[in-house]
Amino acid sequence: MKLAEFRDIVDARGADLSTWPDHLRVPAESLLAAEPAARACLDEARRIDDVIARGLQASAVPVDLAAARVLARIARELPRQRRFAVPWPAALLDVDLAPSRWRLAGLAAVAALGIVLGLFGPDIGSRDGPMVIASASAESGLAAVFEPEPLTGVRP
Amino acid sequence: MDEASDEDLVRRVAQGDEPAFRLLARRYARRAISLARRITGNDADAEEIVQEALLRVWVNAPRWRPVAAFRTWFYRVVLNLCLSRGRRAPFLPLPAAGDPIDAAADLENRLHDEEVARLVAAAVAALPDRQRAAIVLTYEEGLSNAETAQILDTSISSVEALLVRAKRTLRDKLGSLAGLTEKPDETR
Repeated sequence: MKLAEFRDIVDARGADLSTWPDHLRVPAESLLAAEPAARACLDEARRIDDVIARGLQASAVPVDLAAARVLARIARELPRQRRFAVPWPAALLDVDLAPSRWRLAGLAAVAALGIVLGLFGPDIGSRDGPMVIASASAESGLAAVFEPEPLTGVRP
Repeated sequence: MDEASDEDLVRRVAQGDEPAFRLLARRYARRAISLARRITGNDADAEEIVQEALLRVWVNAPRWRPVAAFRTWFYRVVLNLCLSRGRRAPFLPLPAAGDPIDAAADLENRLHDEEVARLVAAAVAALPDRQRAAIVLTYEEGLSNAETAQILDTSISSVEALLVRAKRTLRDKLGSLAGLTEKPDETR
């Protein structure tokens, strides 16, 4: 782990290494043991964290009166609740229908596979190649139907 | 009912239980107003937003699904209302009145603490909205990056990026305070 990476991780995850996952904490501890600059970086991060936390706490304005006003306002007549038109079984309501990356990725993969198979997959519709309608003999009453078309010679 | 979990209360609220709703509202009103106040920088907006968020809890409780903690859902509603409202005139929050004056307290230390509080609050207030939200949720609410990500409806890596940028800015503005936080009578 390099010093720049260590600094970013400290900023991203905080200066308490005990909260870091092992794959980050172990190399970070090695770096701290070897590099005075890393120890100085961690010390600086802890100081800044302390300043921010104490400053926010000290600058917090009491909100008891504001909370009381809000609670008084919502204590008046409440609006109608939004319910499902049909009562769904609880088990269905517990199903998470929100899109998830894995579900979308699976759907996309299946769709892509379907397209590929459709375009390039084996033609399983016919073993004998395109069907050809044999032309009827001239003696057959169907000759007029199945004889080649006079102008183009195309057989049906 | 005071000992009931948030999720139990929401289930009752979903059945139209008004006392359960008022208890839930009492639990979260103060924290939510503090959060909204930090994000919007405006007392009146903060109260309106929290009132709106609580009413949405009441209206939508029958449709709420417990895929995340209630706190996460509620804070997300509050934050979305804050971020969509934007910020009105900038303000510099004053430090809280704090504890009753202790006659034995060192006046110099007290003034120093108040100055630090003012500078920190101003520096955080000057951050871009989402960076400010990440800092407030992390430092004032004590939330993990994972829960902050759920509230901001983004990824953990995005939250980490917000924190990295925010802390760099705060380090530039407040770095000198890291050496000034030691009170005159403290020794290393």
